[in-house]
Amino acid sequence: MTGSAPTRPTGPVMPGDRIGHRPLHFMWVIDASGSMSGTKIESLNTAIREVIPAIQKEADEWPEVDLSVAAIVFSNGARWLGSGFEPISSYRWAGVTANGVTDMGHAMNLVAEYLRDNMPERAIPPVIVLMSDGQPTDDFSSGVQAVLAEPWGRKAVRLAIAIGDDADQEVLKQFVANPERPVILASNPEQLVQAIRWASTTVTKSVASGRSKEGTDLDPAIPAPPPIPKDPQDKVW
Amino acid sequence: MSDADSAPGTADDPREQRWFHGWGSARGPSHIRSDKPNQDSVKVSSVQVDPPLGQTFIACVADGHGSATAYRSDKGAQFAVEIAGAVVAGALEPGGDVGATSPGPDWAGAPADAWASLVETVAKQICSKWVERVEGDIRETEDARAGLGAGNDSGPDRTGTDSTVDAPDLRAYGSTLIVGILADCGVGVLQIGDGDAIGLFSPQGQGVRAERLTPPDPRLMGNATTSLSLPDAAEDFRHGAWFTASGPGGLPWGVVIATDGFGNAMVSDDALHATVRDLVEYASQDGQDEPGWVSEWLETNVARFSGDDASMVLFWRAASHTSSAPGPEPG
Repeated sequence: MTGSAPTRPTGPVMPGDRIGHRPLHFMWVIDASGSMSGTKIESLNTAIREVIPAIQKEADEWPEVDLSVAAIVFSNGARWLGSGFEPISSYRWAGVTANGVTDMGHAMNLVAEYLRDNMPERAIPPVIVLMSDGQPTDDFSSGVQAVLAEPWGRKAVRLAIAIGDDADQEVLKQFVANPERPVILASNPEQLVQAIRWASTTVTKSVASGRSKEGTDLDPAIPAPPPIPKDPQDKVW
Repeated sequence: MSDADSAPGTADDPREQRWFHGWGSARGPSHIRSDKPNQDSVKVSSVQVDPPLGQTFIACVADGHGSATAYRSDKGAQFAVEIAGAVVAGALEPGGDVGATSPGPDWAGAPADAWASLVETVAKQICSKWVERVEGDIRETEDARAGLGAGNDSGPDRTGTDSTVDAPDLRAYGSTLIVGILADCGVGVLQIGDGDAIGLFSPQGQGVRAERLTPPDPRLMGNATTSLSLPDAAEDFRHGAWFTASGPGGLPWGVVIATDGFGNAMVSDDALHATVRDLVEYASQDGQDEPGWVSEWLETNVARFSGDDASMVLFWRAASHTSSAPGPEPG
C-alpha cells in the first residue's frame, strides 16, 4: 500500500500585502543660498552624487530595512527637491543651484510638517542632515522648535554640517540639540565630501542595522564623526 | 466565552473549554549577521488554582535590547521570564503573596480589584528580583573573570563599559517583559516596554475583533523602549484585564503575546491584527496543543522582514476534548 507522506503543519499562509520592511527615512536639508554658489554647491552636488551608490551598496546589506531618501533645499523659501521621498534604489541626484537668502526656518517647518503627518508608527528613527554655510534670514527658532516639538523630530538622528567658517554653528547646534553630537565643520571640498559620506553612509548604516533599544529618554547611539583638523592648512572656505 | 459563537474552536459550554497554546522564537537576521544570540526569551507554565481561576497559564515573553550597551541582554531576558513566571505563580497559588491577605482576592465577585492587587504586588516583585538576579550575575561573572583572567567576557572588553559589583550596570541586561495570565474566568496582561499583546473578541453577532490588551505608551517609538533596567521600572508597567464577569464578549477567546520583532514586520496595525486572527484561527482549527510550526513560521514569515528576533506565544480557548492535554512546559 502506498500513500503520500503526512504533511506537517506549517502555519497559516502570510498574505504578502501585510508584510513590510521597516521604513527608514533619510533627509538632506540643504542651504542653497547665494553664499553657497561656486565651489561649495559644486562640492556638495558632487559629494551627494557620489555617495548615493555607496548608500545603495550599504542598503543591500540590510535588506530588512526600506530606506528612502529626500532632500529639502532652502534659499528664498524652502521646497522639496523632486517628488519627495524615493526608494534609495531608484534615487538620482539632479543637482542644486545656489542663489537667494537663507530661509532655514522655512525648511525646518517643512521637516516638522512631514514628521507630523507622514511617519509610520513602526518606523526606524529618521536621519536628518542639515548643511549650511551661513546664518538664517528668517525665523529659524520657531522652525527648529516645530521640529523638536514633534515626537519623531525628537527621536530623529539630527546631524549638522557647517560649511566654512561663516556658518552659524550655534544655530546648527540648536537643530542637533544634543551636546554629545558636535556640528561637523567642513573647511574645504574634501572635508565636505568626507562629512557627507559619514552622515549618509556610516550613520545611516548604524541606525538601519541597529536594533538597539535604550531608555526612552536617550538618543540613538551613532558612530563618531570623521576626524577633521581644527585648523587645516588647506582651508578654502 | 459563552458568547463566542462565531469563533472557531470554541464550544457552547464554557465549562467544557480550556486554554490551548503554542509558542516559538526565531533569531533575527541582524543578530545572525553580528553573531549574537537570540535576545528573546519565552516561558509558558501553568498552575492549578481554585475556581474561578482553574488551570491558569502564565506566559512570559521578554526581549533583550541587544545594543552595545545591553551586551548581556539575552541573559536579562532569560532572567525576566524565569522570575516573572515564578512570581506570578507564587502570587496565584493558595497561600501565595496575593492570596495571603485576608480576606483574599475575590476573583469571582470583584475580579477587577483582585487584578489590581495582583498587578501592584507582582510588578514590584518582578523588578526587585530581576535587579537582585542581575546583580548576582554580575558578581558571578566578575568572579569568573577574576579566576580565568580578564578578557573572557565579551561585554566590558567590547564596549568599554565596566560592570562591577559595587556599581552594577543594569543596562547591560536591559529587557522588556510581557506577562499574560490566562485563567478560566479571565485574561490579564502586564507589560513593560514594547511588543504586542493582542486579544481576539467575538461579541455576539459582531464577528471577530482584535484589540490590544494593554494601553499604548507614547514613549515607545523608533526603537526606544521602557525597560526593566530603568529606575522605577515597576511604575512603567501597564496592564489590562478582562473577565467573564464583564458579560458577553468580555473575555478574549484568542490571545497573542509577541516581541516587537513580530509587529515590526507588519505594514500596519490592521495587518498585525489580521495576522493574529489568522494565526489563532489556524492553530485552533489545526487542533494540536503546543504545535511545532511556530518558530519556523516566525523565521520564514516575520524575522526576515523585521530583521529582529521574533518570539510569540499564542493561546486559544477551545473545547477540552479537541486536543490533547498540555505537555511539559517549554524550556
